Amino acid sequence: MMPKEAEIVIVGGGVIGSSIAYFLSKAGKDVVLLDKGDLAGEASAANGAFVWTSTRRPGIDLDLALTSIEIHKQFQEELDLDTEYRRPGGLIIVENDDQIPAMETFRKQREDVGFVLTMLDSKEARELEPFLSERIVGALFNPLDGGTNPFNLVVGLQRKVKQMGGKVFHHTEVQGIQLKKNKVKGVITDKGFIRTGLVVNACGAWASLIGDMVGIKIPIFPQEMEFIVTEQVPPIISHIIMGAGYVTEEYSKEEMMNDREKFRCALCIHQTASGNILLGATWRFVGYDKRTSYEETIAIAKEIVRIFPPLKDAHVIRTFANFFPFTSDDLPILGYVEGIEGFIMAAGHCGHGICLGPITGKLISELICEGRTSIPIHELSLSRFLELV
Amino acid sequence: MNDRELIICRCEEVTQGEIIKAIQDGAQSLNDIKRTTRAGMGLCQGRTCRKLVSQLLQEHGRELGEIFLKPPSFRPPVRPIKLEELAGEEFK
Repeated sequence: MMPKEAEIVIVGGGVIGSSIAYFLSKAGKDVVLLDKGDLAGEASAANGAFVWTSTRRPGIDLDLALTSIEIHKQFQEELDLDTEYRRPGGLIIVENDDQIPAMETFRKQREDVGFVLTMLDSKEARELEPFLSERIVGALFNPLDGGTNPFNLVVGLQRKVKQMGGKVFHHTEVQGIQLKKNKVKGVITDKGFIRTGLVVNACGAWASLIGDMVGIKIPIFPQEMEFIVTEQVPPIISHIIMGAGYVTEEYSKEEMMNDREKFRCALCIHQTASGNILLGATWRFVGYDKRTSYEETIAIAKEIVRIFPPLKDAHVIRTFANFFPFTSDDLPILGYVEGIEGFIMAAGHCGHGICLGPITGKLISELICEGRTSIPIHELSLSRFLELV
Repeated sequence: MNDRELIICRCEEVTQGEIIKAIQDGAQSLNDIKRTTRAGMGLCQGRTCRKLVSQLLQEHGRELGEIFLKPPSFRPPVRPIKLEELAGEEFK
């Protein structure tokens, strides 16, 4: 039964909302977690399952990622379900000489803050991953990168929340947020009204729809990402792998926004504990349309077979797509929203939600319980976009 | 043979007992069962087990609360296909 009242209502049951609910429950708070669909029904279940730090930029971005991977480790002890989190290390594949200067700048920026990635030549990279094409020119290696099982992560967190007395409702749609004098008074759902003074918007790519309910514009857009999945094969890829194209694409977000339907493609490879290989990815902006397209599937297949020729014999069993919550500066929006008392943002993690879910949960819980956070999050507030909207 | 040991999803070797347990633990839809047990995630993508899983959800889920029988979406490819077939001539 839907409770009539709750101290805190979290909207969105993905990895972000579930982590927040977990930390708040642990702190003894009375939480209700609401989700409009199935268990881990959206981006938290449809992604490359990377827990990746290499591409994070020095500053708060990297601080969040490096702290979060320690919590991923901690969750392995605390949750009853194996999250399959492991850190085999990540490789960013450099395909041609043209990419070397950009990759060297990328590496140097990180080294300057003590975050060391090692440049390997082609032979050294192939010693780590024997099936890589001989044509690659090298790779950047980072021992801290890893992967997880996002289903188990979300399910494991929600189970703990329920054990600690928190309430979790799926297939429950939030239809409105009741305000009085710019103060949150309750949440209107299709299953009833919950009186509360505190709402957390953890709706990922749908966060702007919740913003509309309180009259604020939230500049988070659905970025469609497509992946393909192979059959289960024996372990043949041990690292978590990305193409250098990702690093160069990171710098052209404006161009992407100006040509929304054109898809981009860059390599990402993750052989999961089950033996399936997740291969990606393409991305573009097509609203909330999550059908996969033939053209994108072909583009991914070409990219993979070029870099990992022996994978040509692996069978593809499925394609899938989801929406990453895109923000123009590639950072999430976290914290209280000025002008609406009791409304907290925790969305916009772009393609880094699985990595950043745990630290987001910890910080939002600290913010609510103690009024301050162990990593300052002022620069992540919604107000940084005020001039834009 | 104990009914609970019956294999429902052959691709991922998920038993009837595991599916019933997932429903008792709160799975309310075919997607929930898929994500908690892997039933339907294998080579045939649920084309063999989907009806059986749906039946188990109706039998065991209704008494526990609301259930949702909307099937997980079918996605290309229809049958497993080699990456080289998708990548095209130049990679063969």
